[in-house]
Amino acid sequence: MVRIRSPQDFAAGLFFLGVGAFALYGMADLRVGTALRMGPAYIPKLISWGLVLAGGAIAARALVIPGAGLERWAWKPLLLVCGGTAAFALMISQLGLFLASVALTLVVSFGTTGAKWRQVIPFSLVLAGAAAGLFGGLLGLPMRLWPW
Amino acid sequence: MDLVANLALGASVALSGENLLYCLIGSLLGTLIGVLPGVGPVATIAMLLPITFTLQPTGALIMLAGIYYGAQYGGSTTAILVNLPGEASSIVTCLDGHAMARQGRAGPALAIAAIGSFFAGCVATLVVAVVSAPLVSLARAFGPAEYFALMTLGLVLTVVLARGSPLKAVAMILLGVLLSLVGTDIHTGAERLTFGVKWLAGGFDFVPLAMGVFGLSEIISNLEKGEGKPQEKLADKVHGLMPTFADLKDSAPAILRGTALGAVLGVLPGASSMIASFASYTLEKKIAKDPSRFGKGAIEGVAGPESANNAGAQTSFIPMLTLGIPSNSVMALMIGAMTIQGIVPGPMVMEKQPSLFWGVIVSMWVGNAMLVIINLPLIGIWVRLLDVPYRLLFPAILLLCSIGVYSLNNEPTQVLLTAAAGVLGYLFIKLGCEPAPLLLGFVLGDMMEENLRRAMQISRGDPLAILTSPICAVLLGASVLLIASMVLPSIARGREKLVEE
Repeated sequence: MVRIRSPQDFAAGLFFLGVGAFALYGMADLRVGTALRMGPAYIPKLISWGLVLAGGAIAARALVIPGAGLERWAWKPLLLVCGGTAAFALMISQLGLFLASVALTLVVSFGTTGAKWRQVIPFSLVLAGAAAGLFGGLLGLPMRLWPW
Repeated sequence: MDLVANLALGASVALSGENLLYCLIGSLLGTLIGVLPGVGPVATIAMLLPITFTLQPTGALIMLAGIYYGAQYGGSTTAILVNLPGEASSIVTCLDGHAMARQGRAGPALAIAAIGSFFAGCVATLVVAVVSAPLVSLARAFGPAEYFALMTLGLVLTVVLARGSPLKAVAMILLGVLLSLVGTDIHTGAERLTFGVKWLAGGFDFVPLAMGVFGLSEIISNLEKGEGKPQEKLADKVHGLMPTFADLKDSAPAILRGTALGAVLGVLPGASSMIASFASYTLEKKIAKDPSRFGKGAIEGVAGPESANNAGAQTSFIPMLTLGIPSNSVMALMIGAMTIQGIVPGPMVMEKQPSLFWGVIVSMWVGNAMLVIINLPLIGIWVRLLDVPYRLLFPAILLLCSIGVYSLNNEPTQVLLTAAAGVLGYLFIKLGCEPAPLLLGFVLGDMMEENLRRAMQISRGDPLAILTSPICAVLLGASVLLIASMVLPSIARGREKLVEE
C-alpha cells in the first residue's frame, strides 16, 4: 500500500498535472507545426507537457518525502471576498458605481467574524459615497455612477 | 562626460514641480502601505495602477517607483516599534530592531534604519545610472535568440532563488507561461485555449491576474488568521532619535556591506529585496566578533539588512529599465504600467525617451531624500495608523481594487476575472505554492514564444544554431550550470541555508 507522505505536495502535483492535461485536451485540434514554421500549438503543447511532467514529479515525490498536510479552507472569507468582488462586476455597468460599491462593501464586510448590520450599513454608504465622489467627481473616470 | 549630462537631464525632469509632487505622493502612499501589515507592495501597486493612467508616463513611473521604495522604508518602522513587519523584507529587522526598542533605544534604531536606507538608496541610484548605459548598448546587439536565452536565464534564476520547493516553482512558471499564451495566436490567427469564450480571444490581462493572485488572496488569508492580538506598542518610548557615536561607528561598516550585497542581489531576477535583507543579516552575524549579541538588540542587525533591502529594491530596476525584463513581481507590474502607457519596455526606452529614463532614475534619489524627511518626524502618525481596524480597512482596499480593474477599460469581465484569480491565489496558498514565479512566467511567456519563433525562422529551424551566438551560449550555459548546481547536493544545501535563514 502506497502512503502519501506529503498530502499538500501531492495535491499540488495533481493540480498541475490536471491543468496540463486539460490544456492538452483543449488544444487537441490545433496544429503543432515544425520548429521552422511553428503552429499555434507548438509552444503551448510543449509547456503543457512540461506541466504534466512537473506535476507528476511533485506528486511522486510526495509519496516518498514527508511534508505538510492539507489545510482546512476558510470558505466564508473566500466566498464573501470573491463573491463581493463578483457582485461589483455584475452591477457596475447597469446599476452604477454607487450601488455596486455598496453591494461590495456589504458582502465582503461579513467576511470577518462579528460584523453587525447596524455598523456595516452606514460604513458601506460612507465608503460608496467617498468612492463615487473621488472617482466619478474628482478624478472624473468615465463610468456610470447611478442607475439612471 | 555623458553620465553627468544624463544625470543633469534626469534632475531637470525629476525636480520639476509636477514630478516632485508625484514622487512625494508615491513615497507617502508607499510608506503608508509599508506600515500597514497585510497590504504588500505588489497589491498596492496593482491597486493604484489605474490612478496613474491619467498621468503622463514619466509622472506615472515616478509615482509607482516611489510607492515601491516607500513601502520598503515604511515596513521597517512597524518592524522596530511594533514587532510587526509591514512587508516581507523587514522580517529580519524585527529581530534586533524590536529588541532595541524594548531597551528604550527605538529612536537610534529608527534613525540608523533611515540613514542606512538613505545611504543605500543613494549608492544604488548611482549604480543604476552607471550600469544602465553599457547594458543598453550591449542589449542593442541582442536578437530574438539572445532575448530568448536571457529570459530563460531569468526564469531559471527565479527557480534557484524561490522559497520552498524548486519543482513547484518550475510548475508555477510553466503555468504562468501557459496562461500568457491563452488567446489568439498572432502568427496564425488561431484561437488557443479560449473554449469559444469571446472575451478570452484577447488573452488574459496582467492586472486582474496580479490583483487577484496577490491582493485578494492575501486579504482572504488575513481574514482567515483573524485580526490578531492587540500589539504591544512602543511608540511612546521614542525619545531622542539621535544615535550615539558608538552606534554610528558600529553600523557604518554594516551599512556599507549591506549596500554592496543588496545592490548585487537586487539585479538578479527572482531575488527579492527580502533575500537581500536575509543574506545581509546572516553575513553580519557571521563576521561579528560576538554573534550572541544578535537578536538582543545589535545595531548591525538593523543597519545591514535595512541598507541591503533598500539597495536591492533600487537595483532591481536595472534589468527592467535596460532590457525590459522584470526581476520580480513589482517590476513585472511596472512593465505592465509602461505597456499600458504605450511605452515598449526594453533598450529602446533610454534612446527614445531619455527624459523618462533618467528622470525616473534621478527621482529615486529625490524620493529617498524625501523619505528620510517624511519618516523620522512623522513616525508617531504612521504608528497611529495601525489603530485602524482591519475590518474597516479591507473593504476599502477591495473596493479600490475593483474600481481600479474596472477603470482599465470599463469591462466588468475583468473584475470577474479578478475574483476568479483570487480563488486561484487562495488555492496556491493552500497548496504551498509561491505566486511570484507564476507572475514572472506570465509576463515573460508570450515574449519568449515570440522570440523563439523568430529565432527559429532565422536559424532555419535548427535549435543548435542558437548556440553559435556567443551571448546565447554564455546565457544558456549559465542556466545549465545553475540547474546543475541545484541538483548537486552540497550546493543545494548551501542554497537552502541562504533561503531559509
